[in-house]
Amino acid sequence: MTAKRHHVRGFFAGLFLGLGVALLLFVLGVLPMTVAWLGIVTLVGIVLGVVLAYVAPVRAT
Amino acid sequence: MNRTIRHLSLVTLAAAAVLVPSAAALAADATGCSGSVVSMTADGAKLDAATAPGAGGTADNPLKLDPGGTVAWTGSSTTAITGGTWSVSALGVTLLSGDAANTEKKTSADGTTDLSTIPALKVLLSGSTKIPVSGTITGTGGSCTASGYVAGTGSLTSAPLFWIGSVLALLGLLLGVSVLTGTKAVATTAAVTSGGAAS
Repeated sequence: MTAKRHHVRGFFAGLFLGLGVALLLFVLGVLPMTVAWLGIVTLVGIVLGVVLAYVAPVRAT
Repeated sequence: MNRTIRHLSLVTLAAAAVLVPSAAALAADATGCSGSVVSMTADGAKLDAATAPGAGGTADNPLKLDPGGTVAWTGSSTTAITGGTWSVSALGVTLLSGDAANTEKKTSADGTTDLSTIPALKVLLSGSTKIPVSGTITGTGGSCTASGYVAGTGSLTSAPLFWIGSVLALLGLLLGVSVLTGTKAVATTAAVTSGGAAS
């Protein structure tokens, strides 16, 4: 038996979540709107998404 | 008013509104010029103020602007800058720009700028968004460079970026949930083969 993981889906999950959170932090005035912050927050989201795909618990079929 | 001086003052406005990034948390700064600015709402009520060099316009204390309001400004340069160009930009987008002839060789000016004439500000300054702004004027006789931060005062729900961010974040969360629910144990080819042989 092996686990079927979704790394690409995790990548896009992190990408969208990172971009969304970055925009919300900008609009809330928590972070200044700069390309650097947009990149950092998005990158963190992508890393979390991919890591999630790797460590997600395996469910029985 | 001399058009060039107006442009110089707009750059000074940026100087008053922003900071050199390394000094962003300390005080507004400008090189080759100085000035002050008072921002007002569309109704004419005073909103915020900043001076450069001086207080305001920092990352921690950005100059609050009403995209539909106005700013009253005063500015001066250390030398008369003639025959040059000027620009004010945010996030790499040029908001205002033009030529700076300054044939009268003036070094100071004041006036009022209507922010509603800058459509990009309505999007960039939605919600409480704070953005870095930079301005420069370069010509014969010297130059003026400034950078710092301005912030919006609008409501969150009126900010397009708020809704775009919310949708993206929700989409990301849903995809994340699908990653969790979609991670399942599957039989390998070897397992299937051995299972088939056993039966």
